[in-house]
Amino acid sequence: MPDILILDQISKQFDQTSVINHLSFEVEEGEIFGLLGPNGAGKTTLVNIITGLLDASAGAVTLFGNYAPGDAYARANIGLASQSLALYEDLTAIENLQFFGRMQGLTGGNLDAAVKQALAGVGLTDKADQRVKHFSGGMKRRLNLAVAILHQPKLLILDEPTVGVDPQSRNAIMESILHLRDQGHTIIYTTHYMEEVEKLCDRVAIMDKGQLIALDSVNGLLQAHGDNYHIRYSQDNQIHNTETDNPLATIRELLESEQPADISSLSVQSPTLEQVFLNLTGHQLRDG
Amino acid sequence: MMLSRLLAVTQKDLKLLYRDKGGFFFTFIFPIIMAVFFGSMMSGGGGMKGISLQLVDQDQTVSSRAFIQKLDAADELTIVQVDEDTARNAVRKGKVAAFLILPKGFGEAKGNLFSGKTATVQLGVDPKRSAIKGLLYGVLMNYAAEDMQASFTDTDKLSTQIDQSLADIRKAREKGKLKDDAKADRLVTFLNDFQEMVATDSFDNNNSTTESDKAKDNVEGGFNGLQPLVIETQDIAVNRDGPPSGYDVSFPQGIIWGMMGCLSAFSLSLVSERNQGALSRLLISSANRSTILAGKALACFSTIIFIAVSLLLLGKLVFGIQVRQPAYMLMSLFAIGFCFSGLMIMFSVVSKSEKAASGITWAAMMLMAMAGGGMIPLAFLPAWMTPISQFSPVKWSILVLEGPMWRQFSLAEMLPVLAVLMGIGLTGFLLGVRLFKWQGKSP
Repeated sequence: MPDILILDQISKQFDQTSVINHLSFEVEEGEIFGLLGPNGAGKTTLVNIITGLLDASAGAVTLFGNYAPGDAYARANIGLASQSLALYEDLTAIENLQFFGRMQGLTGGNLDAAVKQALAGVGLTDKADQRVKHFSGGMKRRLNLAVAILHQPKLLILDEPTVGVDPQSRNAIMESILHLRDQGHTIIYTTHYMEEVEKLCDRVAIMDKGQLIALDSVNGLLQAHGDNYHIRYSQDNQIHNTETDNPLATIRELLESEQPADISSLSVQSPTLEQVFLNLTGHQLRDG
Repeated sequence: MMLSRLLAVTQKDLKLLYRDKGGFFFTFIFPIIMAVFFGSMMSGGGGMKGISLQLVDQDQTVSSRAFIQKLDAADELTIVQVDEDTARNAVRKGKVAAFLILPKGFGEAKGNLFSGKTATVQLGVDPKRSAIKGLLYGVLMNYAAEDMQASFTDTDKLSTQIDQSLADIRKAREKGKLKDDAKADRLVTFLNDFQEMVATDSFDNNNSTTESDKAKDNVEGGFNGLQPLVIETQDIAVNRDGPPSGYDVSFPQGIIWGMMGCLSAFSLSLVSERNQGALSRLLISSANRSTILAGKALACFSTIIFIAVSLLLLGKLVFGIQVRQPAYMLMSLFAIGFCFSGLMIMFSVVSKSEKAASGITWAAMMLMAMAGGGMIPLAFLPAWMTPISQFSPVKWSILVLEGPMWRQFSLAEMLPVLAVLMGIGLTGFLLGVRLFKWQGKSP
């Protein structure tokens, strides 16, 4: 798969404060690439550099083979659903979509079709004529996503797209994202929710304090940096804990060596990205 | 494609403005309230007594003072006594409708009915105000005739006047100044006979009403040919450096307030777009920065034009203001729209938060309005503020609106003011674009 995005030794400083340090990675076409890190890790700054809203202090960004951020081609092929709701509250959903569609160069029948498709994609067709200020937080997030995909961008950047939404809307958004990936969009997904990364992302870059800590698939990260599996069982009214890197073998041994009838409960806890992050950085993901 | 994007920004901003109740009020309603309220205040609300008349008493006699007193008591007139230069200037500047001069000899002629002289006054009026001229003519003749009538019905006064006339003829005869002795003899005979008649009871006002009325009829019938007053009129060309009414001052002010509301609303919209993230989305879209700003400026410009035209129409239809030079007014509106749109772009990029933007924008506009005659008309500002007002776009905007209305600017007078406004607008726009581009790459 060709690379949609190449970051080469990207650094960014604000007033002598280093926000991103020598960050390098590539994003392949068609994948969902997760950027996982606590608040303040530099994820949004990195997104702003990729989109051309900010200049990097050092390093190079290459988009779609040989374009720089801010180039007309790059701008026409990037969609951004930012962390803040980039919508006009006094306009209706359809007016927001029409406006941003026109700004992306869509007109006439193409615009109408794109608006219709985007509304359907996020399940807001029946709310098209309602002003955004009357929407719930989840509906606004979905419309925010609809605006980002309106012009069918090659690269879709979703910056914390599920912040502050109810579980139902979160699931709807995540379903939409998987659908977009199936349609061939490349997605960069920034979040500090490891569950979302585990569910959605093909590869994950873990960032902390502006640095890339690790980059791999979810399984790869868990295997390389995760803890052992935790097995917990109760026997003769006593709780027992044990760790293993091969839970099936451990359970088999347990069942063979003891009287199975004496075991009243047994649970296995898988390693998590939270543990991976803790192991790599020494602090919790949500501590920041 | 660029035009489509530009128009998309314009349409979006106009929709947002019309849907924002606060913005709509300050942009469209508040200026009308300002214009009407201050216009009615400055117009005096009908409290004036009548036609303003500046009066010059060069005669300074009992007779002239009595005549002035009579005019002063008249409901039709508001009298102010001044010197001649002041009176002429006041009419020339359009501050008052007319002046009246009672020249030397006025009292003497008035007190001597049979001397052959008629009391003369000089009336200076703007020739374009023929109705006022006619009205004043009638009022003055009426009061002079009343005076004359009073002279005939007051036997003591009449007797004194006859004696005075006989004495004047005698003096003239002694000095050999009479050209026609026969005519003088006939006049002396008549006056002596008349004196005798006045001395009889039939000429006594204190007799019955019927007798008095008869006597009055006799006087009016017998002296119908006597003229009570000669009014020499002078046409005074008015230099129109004063507004015809308070509304001609307040409507330009109202338009400026509308523009300031517009400037505030649109500059805040850019700040809130930045804070809500919509601007970031626009900046990474296919539209470039200049298109985004130009679209916003076009929305501001078109709203300004709409406000100005609406207010001018309202002023014309309801309050009688006039645009005497429509072509110049079009130029003025374009220049003001450009100026305030440019300033809007500048103000929209100098603040990062909506509160800061609102504070800075209104503070700056208040200062500009105070210094530039947006609150108190320029004519009423103290002298020390005149140099300060030169730096206020509000001053130039009001001037360029008043120019085609009642100042009757020539093209040569209009062009520098238009240039100042265009210059301010261009500077604001360039500075704004520059700052906007620079800010785009900062956190």
